[in-house]
Amino acid sequence: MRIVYPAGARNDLYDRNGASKGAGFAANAVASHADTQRWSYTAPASRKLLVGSLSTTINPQNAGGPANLAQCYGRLTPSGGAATTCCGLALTLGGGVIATSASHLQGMILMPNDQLEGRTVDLSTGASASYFIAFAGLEFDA
Amino acid sequence: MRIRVKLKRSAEGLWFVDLPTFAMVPGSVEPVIDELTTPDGVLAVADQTDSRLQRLSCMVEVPDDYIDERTGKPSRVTLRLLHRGHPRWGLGNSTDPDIDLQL
Repeated sequence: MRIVYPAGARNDLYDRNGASKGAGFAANAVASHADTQRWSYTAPASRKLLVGSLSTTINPQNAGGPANLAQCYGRLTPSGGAATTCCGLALTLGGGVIATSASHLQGMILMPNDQLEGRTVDLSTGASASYFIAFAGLEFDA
Repeated sequence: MRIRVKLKRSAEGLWFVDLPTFAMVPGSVEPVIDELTTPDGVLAVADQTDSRLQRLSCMVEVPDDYIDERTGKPSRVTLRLLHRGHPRWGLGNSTDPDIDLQL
């Protein structure tokens, strides 16, 4: 059977005006902090994004003080829709706890005007940690 | 392009930057206020409603095409075009992003 595509059709995403996109936050010895947005990516109105990966890691560095929750997470807000956490990890920091935690998400497509964010929070007192949260993907014409 | 913008607090208690796409530069939060902030953000134990926190800013990386060459600031017209239809940034009658470089 012969398959014929319309003239000019581009079937591979990377051939549709593709552009690599990414954002990240990596910091050491971050003290306890309130919920903070570290980066945001919003797909343009005429574009989509194939998220290749979204990774989060927390490495505790100082476990002093009373223990409490630390989080490093990705947040997805569909255009006009409700936000949801799409990838993340929670860890108890402080109280002598030293443990590394990581999570990973692959294969999500952002539609036009969908927003992906990276956030961190540490509600402990006196603890500190290193944080890594980043995404990489391919943006292409919708 | 790297610019300094306000770090704002949402009703749900999130410290955020009012731009569709950006990446915060680690250690760039200013001013550092004893018992309230560090270079990486607002301390969890701080009074989140302290009036001194209204002056917070941070450095961010934004796409070059956000910037109006005449003003050196993100262009609201460009944001509306890039994100037309978006309920926050893409509507003609939406609240303009409160972008203040004079910090």
